[in-house]
Amino acid sequence: MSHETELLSRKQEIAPTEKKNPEKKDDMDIETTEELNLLAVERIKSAEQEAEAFSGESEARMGQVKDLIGLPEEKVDEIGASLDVKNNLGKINEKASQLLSEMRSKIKSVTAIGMATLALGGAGNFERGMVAGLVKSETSITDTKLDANLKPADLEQKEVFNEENAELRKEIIAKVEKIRQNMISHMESKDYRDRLRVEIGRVLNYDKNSPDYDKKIDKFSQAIFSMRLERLKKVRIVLLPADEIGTHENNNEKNGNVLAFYSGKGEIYLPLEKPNEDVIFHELSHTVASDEDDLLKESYITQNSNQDSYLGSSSERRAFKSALDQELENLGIKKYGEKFTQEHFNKMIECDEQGKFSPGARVFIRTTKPELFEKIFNEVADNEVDKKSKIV
Amino acid sequence: MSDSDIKQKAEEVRMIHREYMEKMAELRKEQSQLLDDFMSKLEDVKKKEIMNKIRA
Repeated sequence: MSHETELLSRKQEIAPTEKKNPEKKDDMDIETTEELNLLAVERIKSAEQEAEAFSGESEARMGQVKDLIGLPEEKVDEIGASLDVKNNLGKINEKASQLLSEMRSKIKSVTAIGMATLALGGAGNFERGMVAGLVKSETSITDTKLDANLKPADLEQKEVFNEENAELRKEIIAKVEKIRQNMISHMESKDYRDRLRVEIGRVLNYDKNSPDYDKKIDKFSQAIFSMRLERLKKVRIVLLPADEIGTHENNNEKNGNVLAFYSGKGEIYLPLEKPNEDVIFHELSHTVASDEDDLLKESYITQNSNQDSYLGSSSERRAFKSALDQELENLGIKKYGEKFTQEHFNKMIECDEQGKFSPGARVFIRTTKPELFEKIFNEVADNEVDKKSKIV
Repeated sequence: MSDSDIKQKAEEVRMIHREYMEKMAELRKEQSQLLDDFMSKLEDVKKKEIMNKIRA
C-alpha cells in the first residue's frame, strides 16, 4: 500500500474545540445561545477543578496525618482501620464523583435544549457544530481522565511494552512530544491568534458593524483557543502493534487499513513501529481542529468514491491543510502569516507537479476547488509547525 | 429561543453550578471531620505512648 493510500485510509474522528476561564461569564449578561453554551462549558470546567482539588486535598491531608504524628505506619494503619477511615474516605470520594457526574448531566440537559432550538432557528452548521463541540469535547476530556503528560499508554496493551521495544517506544514518544511542542508554540504565536479571530468572525457570521462585534469575536476566539490548546496538551498516546490499530474497538470505522487514528476521546492510537512524523502531525492536528467548517467542506471536490466522507470531512481537510501550510513555508512559497495570492497558487501547483509535497498536502491540493484556495488560506487558522524542527 | 428563555437557562446553569459547589462544601466538611477525628485518635495514642515512656 502506498504512503498516500495509507494516509487516505486513516481514520478520523471529530475533534475539539475548547475551554476557558470559568469565572468571567457571571459578570456578563447571557444573550445568545452560544453564550449560554459557553457558560455551561465554563461551569463544568469549574466543577471539575473543584473535584480535582477536593481529591488532591484528601490525599494530601492523609499524608500529613501520617507524617506529623510520628507513629509507626503500622500503628497508624491499625488506628485507621479501627475508625474505618479508608472506607469512609472512599465513600466521600465516591459521593464527590457522583456529584460531578450529576452536575454534568444536568447542565448538558439544559444546553441540549438550547442546541435543538438553535438548529431549528437555522443557524449555520459550523455554529451548531461548534456550540455542540464546546460541550461535547469538554465532557469527552473529563470522561477519559487524560494525563497531562504525554506518555505511552499502559492501560490496555501491557503485553506490548517489553524491554525489546522500549527504545522504539521512547523514540516514538520523543517525536510526538517534539511535534506537539512545536504545534503549541505555533498556536501561541500572534499570527495564529490573528488568523483564528478571522476564522471565528467568518464562521459565526456576526455583523461586523455591530458595536459588540469585537467583544464577541474576542470572547469566542479566546474560548476556542484555550480549548484547542488544552486538548493538544492533554492528548494521550496509545501505542499498539500496527496490525491491531485498524480493528481496535475505539476505531469506529474498523478498517484494517487504518494506520493510526484519533479516538475523539483524548487519545491518539499510533503503531508501535518506526515513527512517521507526517502521521503523528496529522493525528495531533485533529486535536486542534473544529468539527465543522462549512468553508472546508464546501471547497472539497467530490471524488465520487467511498473515501468522500473521510476526505471531505472538516476534520481531515483541516489536518491535510495544516501539512500543506507548513510545506508551503518550507518550500519558500509562502509564510504562514502572509496573505495567499494567485502567485502563491501558481507556485504551489508548479511544486505539486514536481512532486515536492507530502502525500497529505497533495491530497488537499487535489481535492480542493481552486477558486477557494485564497479564502481558505486567509481565513482558516492552522497548526503549522516548522517541518525542519518537527523532524527529530 | 427567546431572550428570556436564554436568560432563564443561564440562570439554571448557574444554579446547578452553585448547588454543586455547596454540596462539595458539605462534603469537604465531612471529609475534614473524618480526618480530624482520625488525627485526634492518633494524637491520643501518641500522648499515651509518651506518658508511658515518662512513667517508665
